[in-house]
Amino acid sequence: MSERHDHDPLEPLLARLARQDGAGPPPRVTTAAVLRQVRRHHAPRREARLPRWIALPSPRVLGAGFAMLLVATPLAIAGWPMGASGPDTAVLALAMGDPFGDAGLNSLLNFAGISR
Amino acid sequence: MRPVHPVPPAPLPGEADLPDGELLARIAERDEGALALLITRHGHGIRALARRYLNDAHHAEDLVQEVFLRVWTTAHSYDPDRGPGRPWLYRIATNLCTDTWRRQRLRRFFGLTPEMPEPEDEAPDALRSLAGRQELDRLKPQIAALPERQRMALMLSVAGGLANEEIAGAMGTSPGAVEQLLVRARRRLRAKLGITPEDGRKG
Repeated sequence: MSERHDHDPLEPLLARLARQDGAGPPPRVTTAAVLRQVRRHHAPRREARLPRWIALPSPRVLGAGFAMLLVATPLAIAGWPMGASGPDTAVLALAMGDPFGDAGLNSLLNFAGISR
Repeated sequence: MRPVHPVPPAPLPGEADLPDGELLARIAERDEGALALLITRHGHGIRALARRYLNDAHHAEDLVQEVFLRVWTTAHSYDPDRGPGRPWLYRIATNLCTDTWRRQRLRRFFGLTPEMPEPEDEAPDALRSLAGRQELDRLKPQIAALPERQRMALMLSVAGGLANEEIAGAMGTSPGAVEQLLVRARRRLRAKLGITPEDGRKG
């Protein structure tokens, strides 16, 4: 399957386009630039030297944990029950945006002294 | 890694005639002069290919740099028994072009990139005649609208100046399939531009 292009007006058009695309100054790429980039690629990354525990959880999870500690610790000290229906669960459910889910509601009612 | 000179050494007399495969073997041994020679030899062709394939002059410059970066880091994997160096080099370029094109298409789909910018015109004055520009302006969007593989085969042939066997090596297909891609691409362009081979015979 072959076509002769001797008289095809498309060919000179394509050749002109190729000349236009190839014209202009030499590509900006230089050996020095390539080698600089190679050095950057192979340089040890700053993050790679940090211990794994530096990768912290998201601010939302951190906030929920902190709020839970802040509220639940004094209550626990005061003798309130902790666990699945305790105030710690209520605070956690609130922080996670689901205060009226099963766990959240149970613990809120429990907190208010109402048995569900 | 060998220490890197701020200015790569100029090629020695006679090195300019070395085949691409030999240059790649030297690059694998960290010869910066060989890399400089390869860039001089193929930089323009790869830029022209990328520029027309991506329809974006700025991305084309970045792509040329990325191609030679990969050449420097992967030259050791070049096997001269499996073919000459030029198709191997252009295979890196075609893979990068395809990846970049697909990323650009995705970005355009999500509206993260404006419509394809027209490459700036750096043609010599002789090519800037109004009629000539109009013809090329009609041709460019039609090339951009060709199916990916047809466009790639055509650009490797026209911009890279590769023979069908070399295009086959660069695209990882057979010379017969390349011939078909080229025939289809040209036929489609002629149909879109409303030209027939007879038009040329009349002139």
